[in-house]
Amino acid sequence: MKSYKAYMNKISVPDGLHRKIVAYAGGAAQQTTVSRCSAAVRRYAAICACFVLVGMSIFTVPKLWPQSMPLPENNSALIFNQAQGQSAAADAAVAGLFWQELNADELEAVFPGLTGTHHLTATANFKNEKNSAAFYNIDAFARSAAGLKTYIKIAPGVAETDYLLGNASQPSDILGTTVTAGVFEIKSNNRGLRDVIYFANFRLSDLGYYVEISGPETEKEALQEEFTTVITQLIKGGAADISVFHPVVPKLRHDLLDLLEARADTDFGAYLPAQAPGGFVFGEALRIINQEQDTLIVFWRKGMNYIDWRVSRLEEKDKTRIISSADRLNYDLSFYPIPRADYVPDDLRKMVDNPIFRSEELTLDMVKARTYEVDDAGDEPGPRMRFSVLYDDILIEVDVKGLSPEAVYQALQEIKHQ
Amino acid sequence: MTFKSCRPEEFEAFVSRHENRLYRTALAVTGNAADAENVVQEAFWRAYEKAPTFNFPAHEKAWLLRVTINLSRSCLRSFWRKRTEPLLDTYPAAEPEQHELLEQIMALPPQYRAVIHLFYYEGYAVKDIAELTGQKEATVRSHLTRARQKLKVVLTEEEEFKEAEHEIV
Repeated sequence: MKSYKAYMNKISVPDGLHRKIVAYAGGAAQQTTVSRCSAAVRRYAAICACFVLVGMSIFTVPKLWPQSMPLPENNSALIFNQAQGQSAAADAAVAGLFWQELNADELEAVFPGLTGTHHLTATANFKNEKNSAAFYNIDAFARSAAGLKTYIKIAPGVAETDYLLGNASQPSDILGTTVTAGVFEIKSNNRGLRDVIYFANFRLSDLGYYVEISGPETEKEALQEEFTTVITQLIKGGAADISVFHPVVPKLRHDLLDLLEARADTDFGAYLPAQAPGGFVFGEALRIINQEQDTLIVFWRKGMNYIDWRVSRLEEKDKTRIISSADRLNYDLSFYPIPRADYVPDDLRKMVDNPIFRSEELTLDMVKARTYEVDDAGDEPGPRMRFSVLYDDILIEVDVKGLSPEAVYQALQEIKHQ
Repeated sequence: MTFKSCRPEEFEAFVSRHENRLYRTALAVTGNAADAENVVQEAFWRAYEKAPTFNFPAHEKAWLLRVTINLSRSCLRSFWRKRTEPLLDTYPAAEPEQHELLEQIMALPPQYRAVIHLFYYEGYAVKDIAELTGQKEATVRSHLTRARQKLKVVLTEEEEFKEAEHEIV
């Protein structure tokens, strides 16, 4: 992705856009509307757009007819309609969502037609509705013996697709089930290679299915064959039995707290600094509990400077970042000039990015070794540092700008083991 | 802080600090310079009119990125936009060796482009992207996995990509 980064780095906001945005500050005060269309302009624009649409449709509708691509397998033919574009449908934030990985029995119940032939990994998502768990969807990957990986989504009603088909798209009949399939072809690269993406949706009972496979066009026969096989086996196996799940709504919390409430938190409140360093004022505190984290986050600020203090329990995945004070290469930033991505060895990246020191080993010298300064356009200069400190099984992650290493060290020293 | 109560030069400093980042993100998601410009204008307009209290720069940056991503998605969901392709033609010119990769990335569905951009360009961890986009970590990981599958042809030669894959999954 180096070329992507290099390309993006060269992009800047056009001067005209900058001037327009900044004009808000002056213009808005005088009740002018800078580059925001009036209602009349919008109305006429909409009418013009209608005419344009009618005009364009005369030329484009013939191109919307599907391109039939009958497949030889399974005595059935999937008709692949040409995708007209991509859908912006995203997995929107869903309040109270929780999930579980499917075990072998659940995989058998949900994918009865595939478990014998494919290696499956799947996550079932549920939504907390008044302390009761409602089925939201299932995300799954099915890997064939040949290594081809197919994505499967199952949802109540209709499963959203990533691609758009025209109204004239033709459905296929697979073992009596109506399947709407499509293909999205990416432009060829300069070596003449391109990826193709096959997708389809259909319903089994009251569940919507979305299936997708992608890969190089040179392997399209294998992709089509695998795609058809997966769909056929899903249909043969019948609708997923979601009654196999017995989800229990986990403890979920996402609360904005004031500083007193944060300090009173029974789990982590005692791991906050006794008082904010000079000049810093309390900004916000968040208490988050979900399946991925159990954390207390507190922010202090002072102009453009800040302290981001996060307290959580040490997890298994954190243990690889626990380092010894003797291993300076694992945490001393003076060894790694910026941009560090070019200098930090891959096997040390996680540790150098955010090492975990044991509180009993922490020294001022170690905190200083984590301190650095960078010139950031529009920002104030000041020392920055990021690292974590372990107090028994409690982890404090410190992300600071504008505070001396001495002050950070002092604040951490005042935290007592509980 | 809301900028309505600020001097214009304070708002300009705020804009200068974030505009390139937001523009690049909007470009990555919408794939279209004109849309990206509209999105960035709207994001700053919202910050000016009704920004919540920004407690510290990282919070400010995260708020703006979140708004930019949401506006970009809304833009792509609009009636007109759904019936037009993302226009690489309006994208700023790329070097020949960059164009291939950009084409492949812009061919990804928008939600994947957002995750790819935040992960590989902004350098956010999966956990941070989940917070930023309001998705769960498993969804972000799934999007990265699927995006990588879709970029298979163009990225098979990039060792860096394989390393990242190892880290994500």
